[in-house]
Amino acid sequence: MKGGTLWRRIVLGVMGLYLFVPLLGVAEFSLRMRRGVYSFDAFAAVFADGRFRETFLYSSALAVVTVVIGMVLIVPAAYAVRLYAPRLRAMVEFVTLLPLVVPAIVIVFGYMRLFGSQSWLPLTDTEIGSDALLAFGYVILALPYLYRSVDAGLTSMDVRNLTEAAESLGARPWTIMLRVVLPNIRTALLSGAFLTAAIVLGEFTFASLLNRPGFGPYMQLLGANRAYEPAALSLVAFALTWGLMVLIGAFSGRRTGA
Amino acid sequence: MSFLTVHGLRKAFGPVVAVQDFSLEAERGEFISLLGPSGCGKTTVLRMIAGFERPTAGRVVIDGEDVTDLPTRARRIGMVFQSYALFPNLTVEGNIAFGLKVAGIGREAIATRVKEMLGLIGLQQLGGRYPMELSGGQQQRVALARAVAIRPRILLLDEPLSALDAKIRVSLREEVRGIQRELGITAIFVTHDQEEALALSHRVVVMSEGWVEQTGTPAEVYRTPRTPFVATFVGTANVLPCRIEAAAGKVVRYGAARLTAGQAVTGAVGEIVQFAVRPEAIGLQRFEGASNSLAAVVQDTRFLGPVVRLRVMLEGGLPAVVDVHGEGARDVPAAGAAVHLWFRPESLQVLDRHGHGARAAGSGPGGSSGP
Amino acid sequence: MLVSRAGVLTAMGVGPFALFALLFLLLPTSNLLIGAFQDGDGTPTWANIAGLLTPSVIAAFRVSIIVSAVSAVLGAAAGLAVALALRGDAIPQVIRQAVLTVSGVASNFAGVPLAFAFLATLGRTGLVTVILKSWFGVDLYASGFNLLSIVGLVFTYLYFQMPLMVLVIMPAVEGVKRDWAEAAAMLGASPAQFMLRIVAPVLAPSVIGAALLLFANAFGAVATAYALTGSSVNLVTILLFAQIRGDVLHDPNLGYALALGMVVVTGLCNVAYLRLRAFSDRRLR
Repeated sequence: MKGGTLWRRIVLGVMGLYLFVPLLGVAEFSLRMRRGVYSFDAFAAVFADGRFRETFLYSSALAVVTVVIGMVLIVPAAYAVRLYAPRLRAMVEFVTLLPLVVPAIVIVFGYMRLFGSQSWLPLTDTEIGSDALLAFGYVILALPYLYRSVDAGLTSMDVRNLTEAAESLGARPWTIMLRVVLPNIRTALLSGAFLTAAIVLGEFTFASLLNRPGFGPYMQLLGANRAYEPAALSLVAFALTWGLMVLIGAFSGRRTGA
Repeated sequence: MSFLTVHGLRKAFGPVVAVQDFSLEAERGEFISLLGPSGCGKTTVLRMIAGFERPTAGRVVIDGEDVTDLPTRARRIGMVFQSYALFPNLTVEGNIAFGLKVAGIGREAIATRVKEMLGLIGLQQLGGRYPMELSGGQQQRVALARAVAIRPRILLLDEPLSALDAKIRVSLREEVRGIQRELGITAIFVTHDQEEALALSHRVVVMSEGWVEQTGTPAEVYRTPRTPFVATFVGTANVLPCRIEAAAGKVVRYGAARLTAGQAVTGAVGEIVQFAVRPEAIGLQRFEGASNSLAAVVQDTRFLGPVVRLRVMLEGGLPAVVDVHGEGARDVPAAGAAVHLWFRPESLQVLDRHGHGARAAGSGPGGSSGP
Repeated sequence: MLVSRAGVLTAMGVGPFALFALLFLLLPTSNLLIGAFQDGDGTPTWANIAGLLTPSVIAAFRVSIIVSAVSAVLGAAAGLAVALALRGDAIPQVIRQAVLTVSGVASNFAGVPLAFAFLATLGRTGLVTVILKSWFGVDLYASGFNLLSIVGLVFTYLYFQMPLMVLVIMPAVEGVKRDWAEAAAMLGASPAQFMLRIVAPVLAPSVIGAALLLFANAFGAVATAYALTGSSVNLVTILLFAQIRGDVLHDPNLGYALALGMVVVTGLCNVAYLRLRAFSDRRLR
């Protein structure tokens, strides 16, 4: 019964068009900087801007720090919950889903109250404190995605049997974590890391309200003051997101049958 | 004309031919099994009868009505799936009533029918449950009730027992057969389990690689297998290549041994023909017998409960198995012992020597059956 | 006292995570929400909650809820259609994979760059606006359309809402087994009857749940709206953003009340979502 393929094509076609046209629009716009002819001037201007490089590097570094902190916290927690404390599971899952309930702007507002200059731990008073707070915030934002990918990775590796096998061979917990668990969930870790990077790189609310020189606020600022550069920047951001998603697909598709 | 006639059914998926020239006639109330390994085309045949696949060639006629071009929903066929395929959003009663509801039958009549069906499968207490709250065996019984509730002309069963535990499988298959007998409905049962097929069916259709290998009663298929495939797939068989001694005679030669078959063997003198002997049809002797006797050396013995199975090596290097039961099983020769195998002429069953093409003509003029 | 090995390992594994979540998620949020019931000196008061009942705040919640609800419903409907179109094997595997990848990209392509893309496409000098005007004589803006409006915002939000729906609902749609369709056909049901009596009830909890997720997703969004409209569309998030930045009258405790209001709205959504998911999980494992 292949009769139903026409409506399928129409639906997918409309979706494709809707997703593609804005990219076409922004691409066309980005080439219009020089009067009368299409040129890559806007891209040149963007790449020549020192602020572009600075903010991009800043956000990239932050993405790496976020992923590292996130993994160090989440992997042992997910592992311990699964192996030794299944009763805590519902609780931990609830906490990891909270960032989907509490809007980012509320969380960062809470940081400003709890870690502001008049608070018991005035993190926002120093540069390094603010940077750390931003990274912590990003860990929270990425929590739902990181936890789920780690947990899925642990599910697919049959963590209990492997742990017991390693223990029967005399391995200590530290060794098991480093040499058994981590290597087996590395594809899950990688896809979680790329997804986190996609979220962190262009993030606006946290960086802006904590006054950090992130890529998101830079894009917003540029958009408020320029015409063509933001269009070029938008395409760059899209290409970046695309690249990260393709990497996720590539790594999760190549999951070894361990 | 038979109640169900399937004629010349063929199904090709691109270059792959799943079913080759499948024909079958079934009478009202008959229980027929399609038996074969996975990928032999048995399920595809069933799906073509159901209308889920369009045959590349051939016709399906039910009760005189050609349904080949009818959509499934107009065929009045009941089907039970391996996966149960119960609707998860409906209760047991809702599932059984589904076909009656879409047929526009009145509420009262539906309630009566559902009650009757629940009684038939012995689940009167569970009408309000959802499928997920039932065991596999219970789910499959509900699926059966749902399929027969619409009073289908034919009941199709696609490996309905394969997802169940061994114990339940045996009890449920008797139940399925009982309900089929009670309703007098024609049933086509697809299975890869030869024991199931033999135990339940009026007739068995053995399939391999898209072709029908043999159609017959369970006893026919088991006792007189027509091809090496049937001989070895249905039960266990020793297949012996023998040389024809005389044209149209019963005597053939395996190596140096002269063997007498149950029926005359056609073929040129000197031609090699395959014969099948069941392990349980073979007796052991200490000394060489007058006829149908083969020398062998015992390789090892396995205690299987009712029988002791011996693996032996025939003269000429062909391995064979022999089942010893009864009193003889208490004292079987040990590994390394030289023995002589013996069997009756009618236990030596001649097999078709050619490939699939010759099989269709197997019962025709060129066939190997005796007069 | 005897402490079990499992207890020690649990504490070592979960402890740091729990401490972190407490410090950077639970405490800041609850502290903020408590602040909604305090005045500047920490004295308990209902004044901030009462402050929410001013016309401008009510209007902001109204606009936010409208934008989120409409973009959630439309996004859910479109995403469901796409997921249904991808169901089974009618669409080649390559295209199917491409659609899923594109959905992954688009659902993460939110915020500032998305706003630019829509400005360049449907803004006053955007590509589509210009083409419609010069080729077809259709003047979008003269006919009342404005990208920097509720309608424009919804249209922009759909860019990440619809793909997100595709990703969220795809597993449920794939859960509709081919066997069910065949069983229904065998029992005499038409495809329409199968859709209405089986597919719709089976998918309903997941679809509603996913729509609630989309609602919360749009409700908390800041960057897209801010970059697109500045503050010309009066959303709660924009209002709160302005409050925090001190662009307007600075009243932190009213800000806390705004935050509380947002958490209440998204919290209700998510509670409903979790309940629906648990409900559909029970029937469809």
